[in-house]
Amino acid sequence: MNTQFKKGILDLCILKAVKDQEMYGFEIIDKLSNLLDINENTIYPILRRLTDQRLFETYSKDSPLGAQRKYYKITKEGEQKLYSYMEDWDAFIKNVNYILKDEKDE
Amino acid sequence: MNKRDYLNKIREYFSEREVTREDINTVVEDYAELYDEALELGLTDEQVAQKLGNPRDIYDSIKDTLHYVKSKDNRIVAVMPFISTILFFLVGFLLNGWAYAWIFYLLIPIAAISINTKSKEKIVALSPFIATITFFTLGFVFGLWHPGWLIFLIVPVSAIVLSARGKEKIIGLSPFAFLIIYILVSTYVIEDFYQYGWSIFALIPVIAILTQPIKLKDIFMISTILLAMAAHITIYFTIENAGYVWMVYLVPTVVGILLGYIQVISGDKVNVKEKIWVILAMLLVVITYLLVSFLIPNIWTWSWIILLLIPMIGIYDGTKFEHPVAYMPFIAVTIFMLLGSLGNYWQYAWLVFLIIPITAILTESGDKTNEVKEDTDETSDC
Repeated sequence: MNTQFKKGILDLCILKAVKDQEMYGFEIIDKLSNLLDINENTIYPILRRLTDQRLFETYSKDSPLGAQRKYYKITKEGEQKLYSYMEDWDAFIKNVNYILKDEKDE
Repeated sequence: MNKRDYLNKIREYFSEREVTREDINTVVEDYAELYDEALELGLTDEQVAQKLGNPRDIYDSIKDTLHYVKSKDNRIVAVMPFISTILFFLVGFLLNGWAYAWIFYLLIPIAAISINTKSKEKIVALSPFIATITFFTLGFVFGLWHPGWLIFLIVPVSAIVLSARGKEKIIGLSPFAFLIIYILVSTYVIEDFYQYGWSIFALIPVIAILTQPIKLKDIFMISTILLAMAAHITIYFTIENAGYVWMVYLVPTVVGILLGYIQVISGDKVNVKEKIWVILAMLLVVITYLLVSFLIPNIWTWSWIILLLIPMIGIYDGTKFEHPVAYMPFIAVTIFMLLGSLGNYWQYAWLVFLIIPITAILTESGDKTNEVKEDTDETSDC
């Protein structure tokens, strides 16, 4: 799969996961690396980049064991980016399904 | 390996690659938190280290977003004004080359760019200087001021070659390829070609269409364009003073609008919506360049300055004003050429190139000198 394309999909997944539930760093890494079957260390650079781009903001919160955890929260800009990615994704999937349907009909 | 060892290895690996202290601290802080979070979930040190990745993988995955210390290399930039001055006077006195010896001062921005910019940006940023040196060498040594100015097209061409991909690259380069053909054929092969040869620019949309899978309407569109070109050339050779010959191109223009060929520009790719302003802005620059060049007599020698806006648009799209120094080569060349072409102040105009290292020092490297010093005696705080 094209690397840029894969990166774009990962951005979409991370934005959506954090929008649905504010999570701390390792929680995001653990959850998505298991779900998407990807290497854990591919997630951190994306979290870092999306935060630099102000699509995420972070805040600290105590864990049940007392240590501080950095939680990620989606920003307004992040939500807008997510909706834009989702629109693109829907259009892409629609076209892929259309092509596959043609293939089946033949 | 425990948390302290793991974080120390990251710090050491990043320091060896001359990452700034600020960036190293951010990454180490982030990984310290990730490490703690993983431990809290019950993972062992080995499992955490394995999950988070080794320092090399971490570095490789984020190296494009990091900042680097460059103080040692900047010494070369610091001494370059002295080297340039020595060369300037040597060539001036020994060879009586006062008219062109100022070219040695271009070594200052060239050194600053070579050291302070990364591979892709480096080539684009250096291109105005390579072009300027080549232009004046061709001019002073061989008297080829025209068509030597064509060398300045390497500025937008290098920007397009390095930033566009596949078909976009072919489409983006085609206007420049046709411009070079037009000027060279007009200058060296057929003198009259100036008068009717600009019809070859109509091949630009043909190239754009040919990069897509061909359909029946494409063949119709291409035929209309080729017929308009043929009509243009025929009218030129059969009717004297056919000033309105350009009107033949209204036919393919109308056909293009009716068949929806505006989508050749907007495309249907995923990221085009976000980049539409970039495409329109670059297109506007090329159109302005062609209009100005054709409408104002004898302006070809410096109208290419307008094309410097193309790499500047690319820089703005990529980094906005995060690195003002990236714009400076293009601004400097613009001021340099305007002072030289309009005021004939070549002997003083080179001074404007000093704005590049000045901007670099003021905006890029000011905080890094301290960082190097601090890095050397830094102790781990993990």
